[in-house]
Amino acid sequence: MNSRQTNKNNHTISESNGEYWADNVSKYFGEQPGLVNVNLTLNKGQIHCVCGANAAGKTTIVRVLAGLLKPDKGKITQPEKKKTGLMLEYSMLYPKLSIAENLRFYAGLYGVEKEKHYIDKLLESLGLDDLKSERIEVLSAGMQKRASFARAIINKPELVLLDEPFSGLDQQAAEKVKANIKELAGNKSAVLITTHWINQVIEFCDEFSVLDKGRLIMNEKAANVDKQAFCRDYVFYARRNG
Amino acid sequence: MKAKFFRTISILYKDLLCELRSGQGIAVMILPEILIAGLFRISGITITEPERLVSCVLLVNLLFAGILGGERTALSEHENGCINGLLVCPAKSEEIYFAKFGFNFLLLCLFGIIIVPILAILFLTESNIHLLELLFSILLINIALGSVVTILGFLVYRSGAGNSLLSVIFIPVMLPVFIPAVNLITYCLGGGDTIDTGNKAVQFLVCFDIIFLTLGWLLFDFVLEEN
Repeated sequence: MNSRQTNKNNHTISESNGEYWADNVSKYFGEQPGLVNVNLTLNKGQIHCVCGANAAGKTTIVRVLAGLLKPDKGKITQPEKKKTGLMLEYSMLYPKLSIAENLRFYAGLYGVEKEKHYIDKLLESLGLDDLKSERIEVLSAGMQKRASFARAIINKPELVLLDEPFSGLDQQAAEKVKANIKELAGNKSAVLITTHWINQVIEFCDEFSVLDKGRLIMNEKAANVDKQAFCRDYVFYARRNG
Repeated sequence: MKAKFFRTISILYKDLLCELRSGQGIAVMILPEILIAGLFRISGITITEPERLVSCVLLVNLLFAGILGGERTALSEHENGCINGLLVCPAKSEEIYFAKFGFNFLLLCLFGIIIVPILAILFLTESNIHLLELLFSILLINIALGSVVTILGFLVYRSGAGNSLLSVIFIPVMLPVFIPAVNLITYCLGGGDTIDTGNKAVQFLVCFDIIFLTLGWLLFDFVLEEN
């Protein structure tokens, strides 16, 4: 499946149009471990949840898979033609532009600016259609988060990487984002969600991983997990690890 | 090729729109420079070579305007982490570089258009200006300033160093441009320098522009890389 490979030092980045994975990936920030020998597979049409306490390496794995950070060791695959959707803790939206202008700008960069119908539908599904002419700087944090999610999936990505997509969202907004995530998976995108609130995602994820100080300490299919017990154990673990 | 050009223009247009809406950059760049020029005029110093004085004041003004522009270009992309949005989309680093360079260049040209007539009114009593040559010289100087400040502005920001570092590294890099640029503008304003000095300065500036635009094009990818 791999159409192109770049190999620099100890890491390889290759392109794929099938499944996406991190193979034995390590990343250090000085002496501090960000990721240590992490193996992760993201399958088409599946939602993979990565949980962990603060500084567990959740954002680092997202940034590595997005190609923003180069791993010190290991292999990763990315979609062809940069068909990655990325949402990080900050909105990645220009404060002086409106929601619609921001989305049009990114749609232009991805070459999907002609799909106006899709953009309108996306805004409607996130409850942003009435606010599309408002500048980002005047929106609340929750609204910005929703707009940021719309930006992340504007290109109908094959690989969707969402870092804490529900933080700062109220129940209603979180449900709208969840519905969009399910739709993406239904359209055969591979989705990775990171969170430290396992209760919010336990019902709709297909696979769970837990990171602890950069190490992957659990990786299970949802079918093999007793969700109630997993939630209880994870909450206990999270309290203990801050 | 067409897609590359479209993406570069999109980023440039977005920057111009953001700048126009904030309005801060242009005001911050222009007001202090007018103040400096006015203070020079009312200080009562004896001016024996007004053309050379104007060219020096103009160059210093362009230099500081370049620093402010460079800081703003890098800042606008790092606010809300927008640069990551650009890096994960198909826009290549050279497209981002040329869009940012275009923005800085246009801002410097706008600044030049405003400041040159003010300096001429304040300091030049006799008008012997070679207007076309003057415009051409300012374009060459702005290309040099824009190409260097774009790459250094992002370099400083990505390295996590404070903004003040930009002026510390920008001014030494621009030092070789000072003397030829002053000679060239003095000639264009009808000052004492000969056309031969002007020609040599043009040759130097063209070489400088080509070198730094090429360096920016080739090195911007490394500047944007996060380790």
